[in-house]
Amino acid sequence: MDTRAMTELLQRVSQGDRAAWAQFYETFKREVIAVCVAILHNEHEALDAAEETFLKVFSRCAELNPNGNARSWLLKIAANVCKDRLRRERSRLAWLRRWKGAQGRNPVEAQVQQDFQCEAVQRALNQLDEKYRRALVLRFYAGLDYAQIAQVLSDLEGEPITETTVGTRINRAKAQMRAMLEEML
Amino acid sequence: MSEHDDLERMLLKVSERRIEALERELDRKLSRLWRVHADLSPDLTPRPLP
Repeated sequence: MDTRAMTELLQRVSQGDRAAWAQFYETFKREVIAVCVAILHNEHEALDAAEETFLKVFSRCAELNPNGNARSWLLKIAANVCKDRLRRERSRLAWLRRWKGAQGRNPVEAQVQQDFQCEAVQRALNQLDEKYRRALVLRFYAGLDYAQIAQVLSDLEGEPITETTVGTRINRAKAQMRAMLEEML
Repeated sequence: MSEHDDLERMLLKVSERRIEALERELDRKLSRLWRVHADLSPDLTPRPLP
């Protein structure tokens, strides 16, 4: 979608146009889900966070600046929703539940018929260091470029993350995954 | 990305399957809410959540 079409869409969204809202949702849902998966590392919680994000955006769409960067605005809201969830979770020592969730069943498992190779990739991904896994998921699940990933990670980590750092993390993540997959496959 | 190595191709394959399943799940979750909201606010006037 080009800039002009996006501006027009955002204007209609900010005015509460239902069809525009549906188009907005379709345009960005994948990125929002992937950002939530990257941050929370649990698909069940990521779905809840994505739902909460869109509900928040929906209730605040009048604040949307049609000439602004909708993707940044939206992904920042998603990241903040996830950060709040992590904060609440840590305060309840719910990491145990999250760990169990990451290891076991989740809401989409039954729908995804994984072959052995895909299962190995998923297992290796689960074992990566958090900062490497997040960068990799944002790149390959969300399809974000390095600048967009740097922005999401900067917001999340509270300090500037450069595109070079993103590239380094992705390369290290891939190197770690290759080593793990060599043992698994 | 124009060229992908084997690992990237596998990552894309895995992510595609999982994200598509998650998208369907999110559609399902939100469609319920949209229906309720449409009943309450047919003109889709933005309003704060309770």
